[in-house]
Order: sequence, then C-alpha cells, then structure tokens
Amino acid sequence: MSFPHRGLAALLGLLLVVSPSRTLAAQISWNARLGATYTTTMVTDQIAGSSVTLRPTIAPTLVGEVSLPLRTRTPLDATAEFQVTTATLESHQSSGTTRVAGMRTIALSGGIRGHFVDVLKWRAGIGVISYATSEKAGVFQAGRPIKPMGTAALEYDRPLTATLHLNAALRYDVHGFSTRQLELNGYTGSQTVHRVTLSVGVGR
Amino acid sequence: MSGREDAGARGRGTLLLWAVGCGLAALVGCNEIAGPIRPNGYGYTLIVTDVVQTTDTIDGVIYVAGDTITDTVDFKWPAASLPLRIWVQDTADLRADLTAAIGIWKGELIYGEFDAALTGDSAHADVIVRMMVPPAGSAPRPTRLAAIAGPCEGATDVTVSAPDHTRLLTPIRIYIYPNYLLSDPLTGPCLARVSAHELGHALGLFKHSPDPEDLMYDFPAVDAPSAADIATVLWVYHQPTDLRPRPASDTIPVVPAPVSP
Repeated sequence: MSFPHRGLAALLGLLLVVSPSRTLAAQISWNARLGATYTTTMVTDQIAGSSVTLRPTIAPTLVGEVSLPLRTRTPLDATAEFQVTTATLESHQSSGTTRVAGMRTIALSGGIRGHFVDVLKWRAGIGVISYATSEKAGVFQAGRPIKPMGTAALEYDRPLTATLHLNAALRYDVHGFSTRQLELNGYTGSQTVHRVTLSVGVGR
Repeated sequence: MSGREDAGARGRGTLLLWAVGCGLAALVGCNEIAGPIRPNGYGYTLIVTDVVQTTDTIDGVIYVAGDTITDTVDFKWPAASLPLRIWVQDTADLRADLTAAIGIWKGELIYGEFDAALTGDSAHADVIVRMMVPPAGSAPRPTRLAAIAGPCEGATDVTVSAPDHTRLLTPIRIYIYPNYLLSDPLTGPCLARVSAHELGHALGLFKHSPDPEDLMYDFPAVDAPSAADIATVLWVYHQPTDLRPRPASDTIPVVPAPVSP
C-alpha cells in the first residue's frame, strides 16, 4: 500500500475508533467544496545574477470533508479531509515566465473542528501532501515527494434546506518542500510552502 | 448548556485554535531551500566571420561587397521551440544514447529551460543525429565542433545566417561514429558519452571547455556534466542570447516549377 493510501486508511481508522453514541451513518456529516488555492514560492535560486523562482499558478481546488461528533465536554468533531488541486508549475525570472509542467497535489488530513463564533467554525489538523506532475519534468524528474503538512481553517456553515448546508471555508496549510531531483542537484534544506484555499460548497 | 458553559466552551475553542496555530508555526518555521554553490563557467560563444557579398545595411551599418563581418554570438533554444524535436538514425544504440543524453541535460535544467523528444520526422526536426563520419563542407558553411574520445568521435555542425549573424539555421546536425568495432566493450560507453557531449553543443555550448574534468572538454572523459558544465549551461539559459532558431529550408528560395507550353 502506498504512503497516501496508508494515510487515508489511518484517517478512516481514526474515525472508526471514535465510538458514536448512535449509528455511525446518522452522525457522520460531510461537505464538498470547490475553490481556488494560492501557493507561495516552492524554490528560489540565483542564476546568472538574477532570481529564479518556482511556483504554481492559482489552482482550481476540490475539497471533501467528513466529520463525526466526539463525546467531549467542549463540542468537537473529528474530521478527515482530502483536497485536490490542479495547476501549472511555472518558473519566473525577470525575463519572463516559463511553463515547467502540469502539477497536481493531493492533501489528506485528519483533525478536529469546533465552534468559533456564531456560524463560524475552526478546524485544525495534520496530514500529508503528495505532488504529481503531468510529465517527468523540472524538479519532479527523480520522483514526487510526499510531505507532512499542518492545516488550519475557518469554516462558515449555514442551513440551506432541512438536510443541506451551505459551506464555505478559508483554509491554510503549510509544509516543507523539497524533491529528490533538487537534492541530486545540490540543493539543501527545504522551502516552507504556504497555501491558502478559498472554497464554497454544500454539505449534510 | 447554560450561557456561562457556552461562553466557556467558546473560550476553550479559541484557545485551542491559537494553540494549534502556534504549534503549526513552531513545527514548520520559515525556511528557504538553499541552492548549490556553482563555480564559474567557461566560454561558450561562437565567433563567426563572413564576407559581405553585396552592399547591405546590417544593424544600421552599411557594408559594401568585400567587407568582413565578425561577430561573437550565443544561442539558446527559446521556450516556444520546446520540446526540441530530435531525429536520430535508428542504428546501434544511438537512439538510446540520445534518450539518455536528453535525460542528462534535462536533469540539470530543472526550471523548464529545456525539453526534447525523439521524432520520426526528419523533415521537421530541430536536431538531426546520424552515425556517420561528418561529410566534407556543405553550403551554407557550418561551424564544426568536433570531439575525439578514442573509441569514437563526434561532431556538431552549427550554421549561422550570413552575413547578418542573427539566426541559427536548423536543423543542427550531429555526427557520431565509432573508431572501434561496435562490439568492442569500449565503444558503447564512448558513444553514450559523445552523444551527451554533442547534445551539449546543440543546446548552445558552442565552445569546448579547457578542463578535462568537464563533459564539454574536446576529449571528453566523463559521462555527466560537471559543476562547471552545469554553471555554464544555466548561464546560457538565464540571460538574453543573440541568435534565434530558423529552419534552413525557410532560407532556400523556392524555384517556381517550369510551365509546360
């Protein structure tokens, strides 16, 4: 089983371990959202006296989340979330922008959610982020990294109908980025990459 | 839940949120990846000299017939030309050698500067690679960059438009050929090494390195680009260059077919 699949299995296992007071199906709530993700610079370098940076374009994003109430004094939910983004990885230099490859990320995280104020909720979690590219190119030629990730979000939740809720979220995550190709080319350390996602959707 | 309990729960939630935020910040911090320290590169430009055939104005200067123009020019494949189309003669392991050579240079140019693929269409190729001894001079006269590696040799023909020296005429032609039998254990590795060397020329490294430790040394003895090779090719691809590629066929005047009476 590959690492992302093991991560997903662990998250589902975590949800199952939390024993519900009534039937599981009745207590599980879910939401699905569409949005856009902004990602900060992934690599910075100095070549021929000028700065070269690598970062993806703003990425269309799909987010899915399931949650289960915890039996705690403070009302909290255990949540599992996946987020998929699709973008183009570009290098930027003063002379222009160059397409490097199509790039997809899949982030899986588990965490907790609680009430913040009124219709706002907060969510915090940890998980992993996996990179994939459309072709073996650029910094991903020698493999695609899977990195640990932390995430926090503010979620807006409002009933639409008796069963459906309108859901919006401002989500932030952070991870350290490096790849095998970068290491082979003599790069050291990792770049802190921040991502901010704004998404809207529905849930039950 | 009473109002006081509700307020307490909200307070604990807020505190927890701040604690998680601080935890995340402490966990990751703000780090920047550190690039490698690169040595100085070596010369890579091409010196071209041509004699003006007819009076012409080039770059605002009037040249009369018989004048000599000498320029130092450099070249990189623009992003619009990528991926390069490389036609390789299907003989021995030449296609595998060129595939490996593409991977070698792509591995060093990780910001999308270079990409290439083998093509079956030699008529529209940017680079043509054959296993043969390079032919004697042809018109237009190319600059030939030759490498000798003992069991095999190679040469790359680069043709610059004359007398203006503003275009690199494509395809670039590469010749790679064995001096020993193909079955000799030294020949295969030599052909692979010279393939990578000649592709380096086709990328824009138009001079040989003076250092035997470099792949672009004229008697290449290493199989992969050295730090100096990498620094040089990165320099070429991250600054403006003089020449733009242009298919040589575009420069050949079309002769109208004779009209039958």
